[in-house]
Amino acid sequence: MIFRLGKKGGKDAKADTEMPDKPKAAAVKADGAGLPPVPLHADELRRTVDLADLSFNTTDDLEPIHGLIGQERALGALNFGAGMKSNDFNIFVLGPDASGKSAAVRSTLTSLAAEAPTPDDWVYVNNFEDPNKPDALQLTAGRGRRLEKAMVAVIDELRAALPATFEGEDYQARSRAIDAEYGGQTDEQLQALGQKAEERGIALLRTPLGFTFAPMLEGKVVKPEAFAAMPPSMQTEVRETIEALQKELAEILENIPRSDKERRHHLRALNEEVAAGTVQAALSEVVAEFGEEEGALAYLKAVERDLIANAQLFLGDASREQAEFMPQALDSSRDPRFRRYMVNAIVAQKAGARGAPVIEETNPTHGNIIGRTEHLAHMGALVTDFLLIKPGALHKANGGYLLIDARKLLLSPFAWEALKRSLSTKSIRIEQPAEGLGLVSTQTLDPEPIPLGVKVVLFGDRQLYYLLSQADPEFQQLFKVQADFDDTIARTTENTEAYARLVAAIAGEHALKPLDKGAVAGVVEEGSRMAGDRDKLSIEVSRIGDIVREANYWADQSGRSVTTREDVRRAIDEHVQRADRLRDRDQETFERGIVLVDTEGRKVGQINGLSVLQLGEFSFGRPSRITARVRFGPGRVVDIEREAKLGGPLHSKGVMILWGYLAGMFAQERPLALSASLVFEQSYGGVEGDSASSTELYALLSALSDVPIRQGIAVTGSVNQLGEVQAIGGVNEKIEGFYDVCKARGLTGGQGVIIPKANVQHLMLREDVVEAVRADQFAVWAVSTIAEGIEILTDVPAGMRDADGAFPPDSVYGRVEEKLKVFAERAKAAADVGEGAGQQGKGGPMA
Amino acid sequence: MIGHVASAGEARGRVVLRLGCGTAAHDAALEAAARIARAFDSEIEGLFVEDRQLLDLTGYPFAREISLTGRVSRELSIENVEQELRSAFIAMRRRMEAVAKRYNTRVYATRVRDEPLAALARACARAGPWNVIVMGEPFSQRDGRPLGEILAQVRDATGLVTIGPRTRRTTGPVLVAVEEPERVLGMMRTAERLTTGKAGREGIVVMLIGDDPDYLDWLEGQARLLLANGPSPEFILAPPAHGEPAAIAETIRKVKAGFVIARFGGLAVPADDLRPLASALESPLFLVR
Repeated sequence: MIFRLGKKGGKDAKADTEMPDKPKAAAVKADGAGLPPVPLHADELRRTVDLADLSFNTTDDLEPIHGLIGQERALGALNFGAGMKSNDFNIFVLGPDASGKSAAVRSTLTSLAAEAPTPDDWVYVNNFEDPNKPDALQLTAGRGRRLEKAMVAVIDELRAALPATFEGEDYQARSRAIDAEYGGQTDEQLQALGQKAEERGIALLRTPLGFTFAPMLEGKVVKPEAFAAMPPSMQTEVRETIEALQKELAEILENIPRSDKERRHHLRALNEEVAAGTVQAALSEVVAEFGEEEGALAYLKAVERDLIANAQLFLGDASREQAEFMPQALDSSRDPRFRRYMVNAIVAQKAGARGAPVIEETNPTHGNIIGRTEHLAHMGALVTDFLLIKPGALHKANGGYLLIDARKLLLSPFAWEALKRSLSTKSIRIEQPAEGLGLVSTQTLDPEPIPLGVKVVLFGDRQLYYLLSQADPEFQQLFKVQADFDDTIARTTENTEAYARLVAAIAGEHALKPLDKGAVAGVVEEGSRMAGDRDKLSIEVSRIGDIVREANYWADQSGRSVTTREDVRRAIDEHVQRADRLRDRDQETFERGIVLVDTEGRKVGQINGLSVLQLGEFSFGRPSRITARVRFGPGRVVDIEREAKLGGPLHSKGVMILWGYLAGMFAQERPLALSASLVFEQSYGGVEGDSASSTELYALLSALSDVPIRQGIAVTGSVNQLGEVQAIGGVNEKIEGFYDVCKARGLTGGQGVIIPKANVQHLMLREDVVEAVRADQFAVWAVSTIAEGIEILTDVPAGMRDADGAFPPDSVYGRVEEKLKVFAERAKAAADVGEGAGQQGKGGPMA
Repeated sequence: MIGHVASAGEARGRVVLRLGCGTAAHDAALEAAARIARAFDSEIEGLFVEDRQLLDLTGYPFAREISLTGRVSRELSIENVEQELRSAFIAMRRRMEAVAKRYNTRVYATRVRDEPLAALARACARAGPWNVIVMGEPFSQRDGRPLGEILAQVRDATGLVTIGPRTRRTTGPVLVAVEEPERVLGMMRTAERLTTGKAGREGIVVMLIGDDPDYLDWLEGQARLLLANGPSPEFILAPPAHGEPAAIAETIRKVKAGFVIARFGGLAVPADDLRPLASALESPLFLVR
């Protein structure tokens, strides 16, 4: 026997824990059964940048690169979507946050928009027929504001010109003539009647509500007693005279409304005649300038008619309150009397503007998307008019591009539905969200919808995209283009060069010191670490920018004019240090023995597993003790985590796979009369994932074979039923987590981590870990099968079936098979007893 | 006149707002009363006169009231008339109080049953002599005699303010219509008081009125001499009247005054026919004897 093996049985197993944990490489070779995997070389643990490959000295030598690198597919989709003119080819940009995709998309669209035609202006004007339905006018780009100002100028002019016209001699004379003709008639008639009555000894008197007649003598009303003393014939005559006068008076008074009506009619005709000339003159320049615009001429004609009909608006004094508190003249655009002649330019391109707009709506509420109608409180009521219509992002982006964060949009009530409705109908219709629910009781408007031609670009993560695709049928119809941005790019020579230029761009954008080759190499290597793959680079531009800026700070602190690799390393370390308070606490629990993890010696059925804890953007690995116990039983593996409802489905699946592996390996000829239990010791927060399944299998094999496991080695990797070890995530964090624990206790040279071979390509370990490996203080093994792993862990050959189909008796598998054979025999014996007992009416233990 | 108050250096006077029981007071009359009261830091007495003759009339079985529309004719009973008068008084008082509040002046209302002119004379005598009478209703266009009668019979008043049928404004410059030099100083002091808050004679326009150019030249010289102390107001010369009041009335209109101060019985305000003035007067008219 080449390997030093422990004795069988529990007692022997205890003795095995005293065995040294250094591998016995020489003994393995003597066995000749096969070489166990050797640890990975330090150079395989981190892919560094060869400075000779970098063709610059500092980033100042580089042409900065703006936008994204290595995202041709997404950018191709973006260009396609932007080029499609249809309203349903809107774009959903998928990709991780902080990847810089927003800036890249904005940059791309800005370039495209610069070549696109400038969209027209849109203004809302009063609808003189129905003020609650303001009209929308489309004007050539840049003319909206001009019309707005032109109308203010018209009103300003009329405020001076109309009063002057109406104060003129001509108007006054004609007006007085009308007054005299109609107003004077009544006065004269009443006066004549009074005179006539007076001549007959009768007085015409006013009462609070009308007129009355009374007998009069010497200018005074005759007292009733005196009148009674008069001869009856005289009384009769007076009475008849009064009755006749009353009839005349009634006729005169009845004619007053008719006369007034005629007076008003003539006066109105005169007013309109006088006002027309002034109004037409004031409007002539505007008509000349805007008459060619579609709809503008009809609007200006309506304005003209209304101005002529309401010229009196310009003749009255400002209200008393205004005079008291605002002695200076009101700006016409703010004077409530003239609001209906104003223009609300809701989309107004700047003069000389070129290209289409690219608008980013950062607060995509319903109102901010489709616009809204604001209200003013007036006399306790909320009132509004077309001047209070406020544009939304769709108005501003009409004819161009609108960029919105999809999550914010979906979280904003009514906004998503409003956006879809606008895109479907190709028009922007402003309405209050509560209108649809019938909750609006105040005055509101129904502005004429504006035709919509916009390309909407939504930003979101993949989960959101697939959720929308599944849950909202309209989404797929309206957002037919997906621009899928990857979160990593291949780490090729070209991309490394591009990465350096991206770093140069960040340095330039933030006015930072240049970075030397070493610093750029540090950033590139950190990019691979962030990607979790030595052959990839993360394009999390935001994080890269943070590293570069923080490194600049440390370079500053060190008084350097160029940022170096040391500054980059410090920036990364400081960043980790700021975030790793919980990791320190966790580490402390190992150092103080609160969490039990052995890093030396050997033990049967006990192994170190590895897990990753994610805390915000910071994650770290930590070891966990996993133990396995076996006994004769009905044939099942008890996953204690699952039983305690602490294990997730993936973890449970991993444990079930173990059973499949054991059955395939050892139960071809006899049943598995095994009862085993597996547990993550001191785990209270739940376990998920199958990355510990190989670890659990090793513990199980150790327990079955009574071969102790080296406690200085931690294991990660999932396993399939064939015993092949499969890749897992977070390999770097896991290795580093165990390294930190071992280092805190003192590196022995016999410690290390077993990882799946498929994960070697993901290795981008910390430089201190790499150095420890280089100094033979720590090791990383990559295995592809359970057999390889168990040999490293036990220094005992796993074993291969010989021609008779048997494993070597001293191999791990041979010992396992022997143990299972014993269990099977016991089970058979128990079954026999059970059958006998069953004949007596009792069930057996293997039932 | 209230100008005497100003010239005597006295701060207070009283504005008697005469309200007839026939028609509702004109807004411009209320505004004018309040403006004068504020200018002179005085109070307003709203004198609501119930014409005793109207009450006497209810004793006639055939007396009837013809409504303003001419469509309704009803018996003139004492109950109806008293009820109407009471309602009219209450409404009038409310309007007065609202205007006075806006101008921050004091106001009280009295209700008397009397012959209108006698009631006015008695009210002025009760708290004279520094009263200004403000007539609540527009003056009669054809006949200026009622105004003359008031000025003649109510001795305890220093001026009479009235409005025309086209009066609509109480803001703007104060126009002083001068026909004789001896009235210039008194009228100017009144004008200065009405433009309280403005510097010097800003906001005062002196319009010189005469029948012929020579007289106008002389009048201007006299007026400028009299007003030599202090800032000079704006002077304008009305075209020679040649016995035609319409020309003067049109000149007054063009000034767009907020108040016109003039002598009753002159060229600007003739005692008989007020029609030219009535068609041009857009502000209250402050008449002095």
